[in-house]
Amino acid sequence: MDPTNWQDVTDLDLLKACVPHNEGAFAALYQRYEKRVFQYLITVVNDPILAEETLVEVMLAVWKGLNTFQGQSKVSTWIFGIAHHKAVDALRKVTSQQRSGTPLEDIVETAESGHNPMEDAQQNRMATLTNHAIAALSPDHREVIHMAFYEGLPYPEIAELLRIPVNTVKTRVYYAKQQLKKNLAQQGVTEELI
Amino acid sequence: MEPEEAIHIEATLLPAYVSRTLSKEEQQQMEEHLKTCPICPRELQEIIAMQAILKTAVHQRPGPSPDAFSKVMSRIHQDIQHTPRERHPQTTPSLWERIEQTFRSLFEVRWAPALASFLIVGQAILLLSVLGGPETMKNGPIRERGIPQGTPVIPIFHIQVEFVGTAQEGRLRGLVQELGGTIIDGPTPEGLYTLRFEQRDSRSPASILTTLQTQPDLIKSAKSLQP
Repeated sequence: MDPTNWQDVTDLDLLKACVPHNEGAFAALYQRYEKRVFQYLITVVNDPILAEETLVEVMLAVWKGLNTFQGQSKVSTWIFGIAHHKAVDALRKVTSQQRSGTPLEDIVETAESGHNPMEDAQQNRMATLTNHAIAALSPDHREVIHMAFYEGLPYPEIAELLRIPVNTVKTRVYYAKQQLKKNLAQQGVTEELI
Repeated sequence: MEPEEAIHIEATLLPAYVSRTLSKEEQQQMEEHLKTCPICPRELQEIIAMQAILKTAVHQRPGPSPDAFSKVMSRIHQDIQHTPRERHPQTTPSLWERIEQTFRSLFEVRWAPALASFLIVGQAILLLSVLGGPETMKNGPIRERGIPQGTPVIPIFHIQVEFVGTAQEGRLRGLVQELGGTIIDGPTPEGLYTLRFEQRDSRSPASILTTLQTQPDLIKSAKSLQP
C-alpha cells in the first residue's frame, strides 16, 4: 500500500493501516471524515464552537478505539456512532451549563459564486432560513434529518448507529420531515419554493 | 416520543427511495406504488426539494477551523506521553553496547530519588540516635510512633453503564454522587461510561449495581467490571 496516496484506499483498509497507530494513515482518515462529522455535529449540537470541541473528542476516541473496531459494521457507521455518543454527551453538558454559543442559524457563510449577485443573495437567504428551520427541530429530529436527507444513510445503518429499531428510524424521519416542513413554512419558505 | 398520527407507511420509505438505499425489491415496489398512490408523489416532490435546500444550507456553513487537526494530534501526543510505552523486542546488543548500558544505568536519573531518600532516612536515624540518646529510643521503634500500621485500605470497584440519551447531566451526576461514586471515563465508542466506587459498609457493590439497574429513565444498562 502506497502510504503517500491514501485516496484510492477503502475506508476499511485505511482504518487497518491506522491500527499500529500510524499517524500518516490516521491523518488521511481524519481528512476523509472531518467535514462530514463536523457538519453532523453542528446540526446536532447547534453550536459551531461546541461542534469543533466535540469533533476533537470524536477523533481522539477514533484513535484510541482503533484496536477495538471489530469490522462488523461499516467504518462510517462506527465513526458516526462515536460522533452520536459524543454529541449526546456534549448536549448533556450544554444543558447543565446553559452554554451560549453562536447558534446554528447565525453561522451561514456568504456564498459568492461570481455569476449572479441576486441569485447568490437569494441562496444565502434560503440557507439562513433553512438553518433556522433545522435549529428549531428537536435534537433527535435534527439528527435523523441530517443522516437520512444529507448523508443519505440507509435506514438499517441509522438504526445501528443510534441503537434503535429500523421502524423507529422510519417513523422518526417521517415526523422530522413533517416538522421541518412546518418550520420552513414559519420561516416564510412556502411550498412553492420547496 | 413521536406524535400519535396516522402514518402512510409507504411515505416513511420515500427518503430512502430518494437516496436509493432501499433494496432492489423495495425500490421496484415503491415505483409501482407511486403510479397509483394519491399521497406519495406529492410527498416525494417535497422530499426531493427539501433535500436540495438542506444540502445547500449545510454547504453554506463554515467548516472546522484549520487548526482542528493539530488540536487532535496534540491531544493524541499528550495521551501517548501518559501511557506506558510497549516494549518492543530488540536485537541482541553487542558486548560494547551491553557494557555501555551497564555504565549508563549507573548514572541514570532514576537512581537519584532512591539515593536521596536513603540519605535522608539515614541522616534522620543518625540524628535521633545522637540527639535523643537511649531514652528516646526506649519509646519504641520509629515506625510505631508514625502513622499507625494496619490503616484499612478501602477497596475500589468499577461499574460500566450506558446512560439514557435524553438523561440530563445534573440528574446523572446527582445519582452517581448520591451512591458515593464518580464518573471516571466515557463515553467509549460504544457509548459506555465507567463509574468508580469505594466499597463502604453502608452500601455493597451489589446494592449499588441494583440501584443503577433500576433507574430506567436514566440508565439503560449497568454491569460490574472485573478488577
